[in-house]
Amino acid sequence: MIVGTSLKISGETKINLNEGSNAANDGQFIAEARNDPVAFGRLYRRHYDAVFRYCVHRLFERQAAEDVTSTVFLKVVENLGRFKGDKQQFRNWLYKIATNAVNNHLRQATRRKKLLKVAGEQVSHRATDCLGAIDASAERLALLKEAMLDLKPRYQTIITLRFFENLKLTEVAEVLASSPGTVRSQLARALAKLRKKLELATDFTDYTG
Amino acid sequence: MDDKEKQFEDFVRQTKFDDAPDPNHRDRLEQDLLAALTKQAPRQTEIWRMIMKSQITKLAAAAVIIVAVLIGISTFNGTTAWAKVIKALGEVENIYIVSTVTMPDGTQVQSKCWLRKPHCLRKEEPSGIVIDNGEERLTINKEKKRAQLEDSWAEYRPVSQEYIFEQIEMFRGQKVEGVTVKKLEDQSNDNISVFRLDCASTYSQLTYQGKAWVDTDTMLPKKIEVQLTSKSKVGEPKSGEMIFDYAPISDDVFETVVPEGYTVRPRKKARVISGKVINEQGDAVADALVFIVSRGGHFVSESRTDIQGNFAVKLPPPSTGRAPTSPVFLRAYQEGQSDKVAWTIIPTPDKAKKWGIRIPGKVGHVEAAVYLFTASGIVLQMEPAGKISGLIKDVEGSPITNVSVSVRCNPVDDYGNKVSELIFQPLGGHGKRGEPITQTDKKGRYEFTNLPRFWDKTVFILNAEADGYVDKEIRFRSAGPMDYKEVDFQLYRAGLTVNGILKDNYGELLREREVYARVDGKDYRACRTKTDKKGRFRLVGCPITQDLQVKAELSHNHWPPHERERYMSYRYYPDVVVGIDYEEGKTEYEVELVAERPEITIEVELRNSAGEPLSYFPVEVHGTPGSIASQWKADKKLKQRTDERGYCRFTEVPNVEGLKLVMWGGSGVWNDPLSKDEAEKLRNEYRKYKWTEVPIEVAPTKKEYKVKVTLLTREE
Repeated sequence: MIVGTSLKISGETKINLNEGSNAANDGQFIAEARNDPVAFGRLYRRHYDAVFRYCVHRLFERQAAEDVTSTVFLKVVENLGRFKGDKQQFRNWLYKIATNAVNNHLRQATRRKKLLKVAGEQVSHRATDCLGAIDASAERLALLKEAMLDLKPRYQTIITLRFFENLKLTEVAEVLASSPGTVRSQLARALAKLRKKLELATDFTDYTG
Repeated sequence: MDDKEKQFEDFVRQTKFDDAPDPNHRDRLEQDLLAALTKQAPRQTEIWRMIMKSQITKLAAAAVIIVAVLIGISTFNGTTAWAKVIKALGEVENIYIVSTVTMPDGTQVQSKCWLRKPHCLRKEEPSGIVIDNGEERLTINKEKKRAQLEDSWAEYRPVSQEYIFEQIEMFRGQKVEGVTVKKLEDQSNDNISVFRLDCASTYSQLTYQGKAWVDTDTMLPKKIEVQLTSKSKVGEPKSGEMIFDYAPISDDVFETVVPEGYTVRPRKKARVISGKVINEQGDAVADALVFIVSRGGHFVSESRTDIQGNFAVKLPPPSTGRAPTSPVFLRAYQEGQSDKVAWTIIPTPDKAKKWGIRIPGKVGHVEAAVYLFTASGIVLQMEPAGKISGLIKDVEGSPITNVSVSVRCNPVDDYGNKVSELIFQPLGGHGKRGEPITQTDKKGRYEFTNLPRFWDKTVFILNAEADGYVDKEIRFRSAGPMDYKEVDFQLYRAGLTVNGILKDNYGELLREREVYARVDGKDYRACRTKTDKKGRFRLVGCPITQDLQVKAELSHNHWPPHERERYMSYRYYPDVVVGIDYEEGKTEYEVELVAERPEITIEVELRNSAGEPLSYFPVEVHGTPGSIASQWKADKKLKQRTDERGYCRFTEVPNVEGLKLVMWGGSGVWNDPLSKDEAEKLRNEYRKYKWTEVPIEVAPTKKEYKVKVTLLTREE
């Protein structure tokens, strides 16, 4: 489980995104970043890794994730002037933009099918590779990818934010502009679907138990 | 967190992701973003926001206030004298502006700006200097003591597009909210006119008051002073002044000389796309025109090949806001040889997608991130070109001259689906969207030659525009690669206005719904509007014809799905079309559009010939084609499976022409309650049943219908 996203700034300072004290600087950066490229650069470096990771966790493909990350920050550049919230809302705003960008990317039916196909091939390849030592983690990843991409985008978002980005339910609800209750029930449904898909593909409990 | 969640969390923890960010991508993207941020081209129409984004005003905040007042332009509020000021200011050739702002703590920030049309500028700010003389551009960073030389940006950003001229041009004749200008007669004399300026920024919620001193002869401002009248926010200046001079500026001002003590950074290399154009035999083609069009369909630049067939097209630097993002489209042809064209698409390197379509030409070395840096070694080979031509007439059959005709196209993949992520309008020309554009001759004929033939099923879109006529768009899909197509237009004169109200049969007003003109079953989307909060609309410039109809498009949900609340609460209706009672010479009409609320309920019971219920069988509600959009069917579940007992129930069914139920075992449903495997299994099993249609005879007052259907197999 990812506990905190750390990133380097200027090769020296380490910042932990989940620490309130550092995040507090965001508010100042956001205000300055609208007019000052230096402040924008700082803000960007502070959030790049988190956005990229979120995109990888949603898309399971590095190149696609880089593309989408670029789109997300270009949107940030275009719309920063309109953003009026505080630092917490900024992170949620970023996730919102990233979610829309990822969903847009996935909406292309052919692209989605291609991803699913590749995932399928990886699973079948792994499954037949029973004579050699099976890389359990790689297989898990392929299974997870197939199961996740088969879910509705909304469910994918909830699962990713909750389990991969380690956001609290209330935070997920804020990102999705929904109530925590709704998110909780959607999370349960998403998880049930995901478990079902994973169980269909393999013995899910084997991996976890 | 419950056990299931914990279990899944463990599963995720044991899964290794390749999710370490690539520092190269991070740095490259940062460079592009910073460039885009610094020189972001103004896009918003909201004036305050636009001004805040202007580079010079960003650095010299006084100008933010003053320019806002300046462009509180023209004829509004009855101050025609101020319109003359703006006109005169927009027409000067030389302008020297010194602006000074006083910050809340009393510090003063000064900046100077020399502009000489068409392409010389010099800006001096506390942090640096920019000099561009049309050939070379020098940027001096005072803080870092660094100087940077590069090719001039004049080609991409002429002085006439500098903030002051650009914004005056953009807002000429428009009313700027929150700005009022009043001439102070008591303070004016024969030589100087004094104006009082008041403005309230909707962007920053601040209010300012100022004065302008204008030369009565030339109507050019000499000085403008502005004071903040509301409480200052952090970083907002307290007051500012701008002093103007219009004397010719000497060349010395624009000399790109690096001051002593500054480090000169390596000259920035121009970004170039280079390559060769050859004919079908492989020989060089000299003097061919080469166009570059960005992915977004924007014309970027053009060049000609030399005697060896080589071309090099310079790309604007990203900081100008005009650099193309990849993929980029290239098209080349020789004027006078209308049946040949050479073209290719430069994809993003390492991400070349297989679009399932043929792309001719060879692309050598490409460097690109968000923007295209360089591309070299491109080979464009001539091949047979496509041609579109036609005649444009009015309703009486007389040819119309000087009609602007443009052509765009949407590439499609092997299946005929639009490949929007590829490139939007890949043709290359001087039209608004980077498309070829031409005009009709005296006989009303137009012609597009040297067009890429593209692929099977490509959609071409032709648009004709002429003063006094209603714009018309014609689309066609090419049967094979587009060879030759004759497309004639008939244009209607514009002039009718239709006012109206849109409501449903319960009297509920339908707000923010799309309404447009329609003639002979064809929509004229150039004449379109939306209903206001009172359900009213006004369509102007409609075609002058007795066949004019007004259509309210209600069967499509126009809200984007991410605006979830609006999207989900959308109430669908069948489209409504109403004709006008045309009278010769009458130009204003009033119509009432009444939509019928969909409220029919249909209960279906499905059995086989043995009387057994058919469970989970797909049933769909149909109307005449287009009357119920697929999105509507999906949102309102007008296509669903029967339950275990062979029953299903449709609610909110519209009363459309040709209403019927369609049952076919091979079809699927949206949001299927069954799993993929189960659905597939059933599909195979149910394919043996015949395609069955059951028409629903709708009686005027009857809302509930019960239908029992016995499905027969093919053998039966």
